[in-house]
Amino acid sequence: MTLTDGWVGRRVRRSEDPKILLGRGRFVDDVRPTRCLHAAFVRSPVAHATIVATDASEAVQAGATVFTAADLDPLCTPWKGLLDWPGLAAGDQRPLASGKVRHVGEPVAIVVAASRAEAEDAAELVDVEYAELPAVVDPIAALEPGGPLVHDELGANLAFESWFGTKDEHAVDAAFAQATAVVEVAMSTARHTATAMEPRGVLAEYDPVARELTVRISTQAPNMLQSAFAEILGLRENSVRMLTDEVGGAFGMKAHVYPDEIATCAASMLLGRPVSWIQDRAESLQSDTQARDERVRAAIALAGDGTIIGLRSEIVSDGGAYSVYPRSMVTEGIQVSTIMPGPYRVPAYRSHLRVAITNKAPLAVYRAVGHPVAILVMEALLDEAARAVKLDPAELRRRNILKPEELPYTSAAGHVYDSGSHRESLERLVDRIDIGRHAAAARRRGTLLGVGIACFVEVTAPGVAFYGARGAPITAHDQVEVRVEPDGTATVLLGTPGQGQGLHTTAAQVVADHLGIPFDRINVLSGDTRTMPHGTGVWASRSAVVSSGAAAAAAREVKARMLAIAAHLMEVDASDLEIVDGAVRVAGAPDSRIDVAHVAEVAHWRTHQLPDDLQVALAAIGEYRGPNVTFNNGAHGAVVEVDESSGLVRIVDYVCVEDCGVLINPDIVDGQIRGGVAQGVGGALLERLHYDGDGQLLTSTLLDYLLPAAPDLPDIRITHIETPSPTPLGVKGAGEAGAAGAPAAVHNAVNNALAQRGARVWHQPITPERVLRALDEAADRLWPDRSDAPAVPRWTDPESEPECDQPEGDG
Amino acid sequence: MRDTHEPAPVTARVNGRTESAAVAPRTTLADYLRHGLGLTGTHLGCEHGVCGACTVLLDGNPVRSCLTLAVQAHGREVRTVEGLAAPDGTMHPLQERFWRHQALQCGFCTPGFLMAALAAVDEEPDMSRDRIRERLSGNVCRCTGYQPIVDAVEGFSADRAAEHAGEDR
Repeated sequence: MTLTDGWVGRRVRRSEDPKILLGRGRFVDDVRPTRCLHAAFVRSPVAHATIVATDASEAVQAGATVFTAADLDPLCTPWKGLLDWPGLAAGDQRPLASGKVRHVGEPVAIVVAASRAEAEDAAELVDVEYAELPAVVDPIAALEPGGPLVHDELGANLAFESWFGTKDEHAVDAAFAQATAVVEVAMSTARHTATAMEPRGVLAEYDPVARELTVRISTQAPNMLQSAFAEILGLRENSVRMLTDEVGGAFGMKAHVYPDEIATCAASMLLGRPVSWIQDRAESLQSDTQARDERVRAAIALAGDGTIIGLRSEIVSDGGAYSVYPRSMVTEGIQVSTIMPGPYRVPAYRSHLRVAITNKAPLAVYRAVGHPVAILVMEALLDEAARAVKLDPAELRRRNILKPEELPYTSAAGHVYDSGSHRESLERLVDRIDIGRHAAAARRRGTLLGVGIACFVEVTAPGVAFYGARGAPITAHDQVEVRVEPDGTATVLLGTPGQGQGLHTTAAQVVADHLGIPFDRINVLSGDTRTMPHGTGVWASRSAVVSSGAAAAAAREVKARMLAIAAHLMEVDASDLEIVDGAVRVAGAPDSRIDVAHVAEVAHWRTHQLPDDLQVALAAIGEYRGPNVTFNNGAHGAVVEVDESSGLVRIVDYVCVEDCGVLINPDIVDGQIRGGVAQGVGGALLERLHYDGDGQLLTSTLLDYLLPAAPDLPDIRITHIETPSPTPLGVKGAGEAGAAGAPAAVHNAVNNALAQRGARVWHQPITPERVLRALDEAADRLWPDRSDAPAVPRWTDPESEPECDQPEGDG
Repeated sequence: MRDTHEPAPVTARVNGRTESAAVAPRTTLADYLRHGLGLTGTHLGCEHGVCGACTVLLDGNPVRSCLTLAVQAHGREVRTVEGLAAPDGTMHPLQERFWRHQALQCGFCTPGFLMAALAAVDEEPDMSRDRIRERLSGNVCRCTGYQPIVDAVEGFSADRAAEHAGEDR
């Protein structure tokens, strides 16, 4: 089903693909200028230590140049992500560790040589003496007074603390006091990381004469980095140029200022030559931003008929060592807290959040930011509640989920759900899952069969309130330029280039409809901050809404100019004209027409034929204007088989019902959903960055950090519902909806299977060991060794802790 | 004894052309292809043999070019993603299938999948979807969830089978 009969809504093949398929894509490491030098980093092998001495003499003798903090600090202003959340505290970050190292993988020295191999050889020769300090590893223990401090100057390891939810805290107490049933869960999700297939990388070229820095970089936010790099390196913004062509995945991880990237730029400034640094995978697992490290206790109160009357949650978020610039370390925790009520009527909710500072790599935004954890906890509560009040899980949800007539709806956490199909998504999901179809196979294999469902809402396309209004160089509108060339083809310049999700194709589809020129006559360009209009990058499922909205605005302006010129040439009124398929024609009289190419030719070369007061420039920059946020929604369902002998979980069916409003390109949306589900399944079953008790990272190769491979996933069946949003194109974001709901659906399915044996699991990833242990413990076969489950916070009494207004969010 | 850094000669057929060079013995095949020959279509995702992005064909067999030394290609035939299309730029039928099924998003892993899939279909022309998933389990894609890659490989196998059936008649 589509809502338009134009290019929007069609499954157009992506214009991005041919060059990539032919091996002609251009990723960062595919470009090598002349006289290019290559960098490698000396990184901390320990979690927490004082740097006693650094001896680089052997590396220098081998022909390399070595810079430490003492060399780079004079060039760089320190940074930290401090949005103006009350009380948010964080330590300064610098390109290279100065005085202390605070996580394994923190860069200590940059080594530059003629080739990457020589730079890596020389890095091995740099001798750094460390005096180890006790590592702060457990985020709950980190908050206890008297322990070691990650940043001595802060006096505590608490970065941020706040209460969210219903203003009247007694309303929640009252709800729990009068509840017929109260259910509580204590859960955790493991620290994981985006693992973009293209590692981070940067090619920095400084021109000392012009004082200009050109940076080819794998990023999802070039303009944001342009501003941040200029600020940190003391350059004018118009002297910093960020280049991107293909970006090999990012998922939120490439939206930050990284010390190693700044150090590479600084090295180029000191050496006056191009310097390339391409990350290896061990560096990626140690130093890319990490995510999902959340421990949550939550409880739900129900009336006798299954109506939700109250919800509370206690969250400790492990923020790692630094608050990344400019997005900060608190976004994930805040969204775990504020998304938890989900698509349900929750009249009273209180949530207490603390973000701890620990000796781990920084925690930041990763696809669906906080949503997977919030949805997991809520949906696990609902399944436990359904068991407690003896209702079918779908029926319990049905009694509490929002109906269309209740929209727009303001959640107990303050989010405004503008539009959606919450109830219908649930019903469509239930219709599409047939567990009976899998029963025979499960019986044959002797496995436990389980089904799990999860309903979700997701923040998309948030406005300026969350970051810009809180002081970060991150805005909400984007700019897109549309211009018609003299031959009637069109060129589109995108402010936000994308990270592989097909933004060029979707922009061309939107422009085709709003300009009247066929898709195949439109070229889309992006990726050079010097020449492209401004855009704030890919984040929070915003591009389809914001970038396409800006493209449509520009296209409409150019179309109006073409119509005015055509009206003069055809001697008719512009309001009687339309542009269809590259031809301007009189509405209702298709034979009376001129080609857009003729209009463009006149506008460029034959302006003597036109009156002086007509605008002849067939180019315009459009900007997006729309509501501050739009929420997508949907439902996930998983059917799993659990093997009781091995503890392995196999997903045998997966259904996603998804409503992202008007679909610009259903194939691209399907791709976003499937890819997101795959990442969510990874989090549920496989992915864990494992830090030991000393803060040592044990998972620094892809043999240890497990990603889903093709056999780990079934075909994912997708149903679309198109409830238009109140944005100009009726579109909502879709990029994170898959990742948001999958961990909950899979987890509930596993627990549905395990419940047949009286067992449950509460911690992700759901490893075979955890499954076997749960089954054994349910059968009173206790294991001698301690569980690997992390501690979960106890309830805190609400006193006079700070309280924050509700943000819009980063999806 | 030979100096471990003394350049060693490599002569190999790469995408149908004979290429000769002297490379440091520790140079990987991936680095030689990418930076020696400028064939940057082969990508490095992990440099420790897990992700499969760097897969190329050596005498028709898929190898991790990050774990293969350039000198190991001496006297042998190497095929990379750049060698798939026809000389006039027409996509190989497998590339065409990847495009049709949108079997890529960021595209960084794609060259490795193309080469691994081509070798798999050559060896097993009639794979089930589950078998395709198993055969491609040595390649990681972080964007697509694999389903459209399976669709593309399944479609390519079917096209090829139909073509061969036509030839047999």
